[in-house]
Amino acid sequence: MKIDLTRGMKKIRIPGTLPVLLLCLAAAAVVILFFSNTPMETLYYFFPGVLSNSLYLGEMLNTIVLLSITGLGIVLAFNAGSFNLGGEGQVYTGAICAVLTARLLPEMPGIPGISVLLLSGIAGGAALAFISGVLKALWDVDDLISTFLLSAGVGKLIDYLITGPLRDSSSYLMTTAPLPEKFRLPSLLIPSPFNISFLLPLLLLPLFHYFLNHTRQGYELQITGRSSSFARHSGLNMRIYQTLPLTASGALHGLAGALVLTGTYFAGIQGLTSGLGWNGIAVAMIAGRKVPGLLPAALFFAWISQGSKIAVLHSDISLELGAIIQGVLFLLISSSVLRIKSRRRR
Amino acid sequence: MILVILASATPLILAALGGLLTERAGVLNIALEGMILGSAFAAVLIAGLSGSIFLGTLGALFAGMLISMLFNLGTFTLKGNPFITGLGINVLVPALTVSISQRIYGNQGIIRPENISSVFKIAGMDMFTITALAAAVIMLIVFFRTRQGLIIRSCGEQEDLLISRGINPVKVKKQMVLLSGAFSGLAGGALSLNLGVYVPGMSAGKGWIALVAIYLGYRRIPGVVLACILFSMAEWGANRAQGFLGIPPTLILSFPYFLTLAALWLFSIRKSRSNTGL
Repeated sequence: MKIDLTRGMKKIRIPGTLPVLLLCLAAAAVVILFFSNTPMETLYYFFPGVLSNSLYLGEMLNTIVLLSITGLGIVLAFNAGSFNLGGEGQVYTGAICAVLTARLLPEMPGIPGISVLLLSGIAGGAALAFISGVLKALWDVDDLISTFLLSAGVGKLIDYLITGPLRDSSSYLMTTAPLPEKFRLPSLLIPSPFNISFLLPLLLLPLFHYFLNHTRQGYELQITGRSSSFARHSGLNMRIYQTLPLTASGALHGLAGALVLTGTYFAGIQGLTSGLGWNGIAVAMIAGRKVPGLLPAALFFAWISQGSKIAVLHSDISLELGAIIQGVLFLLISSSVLRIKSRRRR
Repeated sequence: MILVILASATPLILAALGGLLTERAGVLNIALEGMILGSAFAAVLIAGLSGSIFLGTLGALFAGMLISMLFNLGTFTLKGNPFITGLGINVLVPALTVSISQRIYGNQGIIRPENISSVFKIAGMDMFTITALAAAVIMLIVFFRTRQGLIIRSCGEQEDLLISRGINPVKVKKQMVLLSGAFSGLAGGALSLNLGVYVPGMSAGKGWIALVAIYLGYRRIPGVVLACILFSMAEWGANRAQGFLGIPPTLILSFPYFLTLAALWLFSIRKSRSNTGL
């Protein structure tokens, strides 16, 4: 079972995922044609509608920031041969840790306060992924499954915290009390949530690209990912490379969660991750597990998800378009990758 | 009380038996959840449109197989990662059911057709329970007394052996996924037809619990059935005990995932011990 699960993933080298992306767009168009009574109008909202005002544009840009951070987390784990399917729970954990920190330390001043909130988010996400890393390093528990299960379970626990003990009883929504004004990242494109955090991917992506390709540790990490037996025989410390990249992956997801809290929702809303973890996987796969591909991949994905949101708001289709596109993407994305690989082998 | 527990264990037993088939053939089928939900929807939809429980059950069976064909397409035909394909199905199916129900009934919520009759029963057991128990017995015989059973078991354990005998393991795996789709289809039918209503998300982690049951039952048929019954008893007990234990129901939702992880962890510890012992 174990070999089957990971064998394909470790070998992936994608030159281009363009056919899959086109197929997904085609699937979206088919769904719209089938479920909408005014397909042309819906299609308009779906594709160019994103650029029609600063709210939609800013929301998309903000999504690109968040997705490139979670996508980076997935790419990092991939390169070490780990598979992080717990992104969703790690993002959620990051957000709830930041909520708790804001409650515990309300008198912190603004900018250091936000930094502490982000750090607590990073720590929360990292801790969750660290558990899976340890389970893998010590007992060979498949990280693919353990990250997913842990994340799903913890997600329910956080749901409970938000709807139960931490709930803001004055609000009708399932949400914690709003974050104090000083802990919020101000918008750069009012009224959208687009904020200063856009600098983070611009900093993190080159940094990790450099680390992976131009440092000894980065090289060893990639060797571990490509062939664990070769790495073991070369005397690399496998336990470190099975644990740390996964933990760093969780840390990046936790950071994204804290950013969602401080920059977008300003409160711990139930389900605030809105697929950031899953979509990060899709983004990483579209990017071909390479850091430089992350920004364009995030742009593609953010455009699609924002487009489907706008289409739902302005036309007659049901609320599930985004999920359908996402499902189709998952069905196709790992496969296309392998087909290209097998074509190369021949 | 025994019958109540058995009835509530039925969808679980059916799904777990289906999952066991793929598990023994070497495919981790995490799409059980999506298969159950999709066929629960199809069952009520078709039973409501046709007015026949029988056609509804048949619809559930086919819906489950249809979804498993999607799984086969992504996993084997396109050679994708089974876990990602399974996730895709688990994301896609709930979204599709909502969209279809929106299109047909104009609402995204509960479907409660007026004309659904009650499920056929013998001696207090409904037809799904009888099917589940019969399936377990038949599977026991097939697994250990027939060539097909041997092929299925060796598919998961020694693929090379099959190849050397001229049997294509991928074909066996595909068939088992299809069968697990049929089983999950019946599980979905048992879930929704017994109530005569479809509620979005009504599978509520049953696919995942079925996976736990497979590992808790040490991948053996009687063990798996027993584990399913145990889960239903625990659930029944927890529902009764909620009042005085004070465990909030939202918290209980996290249990299946942690239990699965714990079961897998124990499984891995055992495996790594026996490996070093050799």
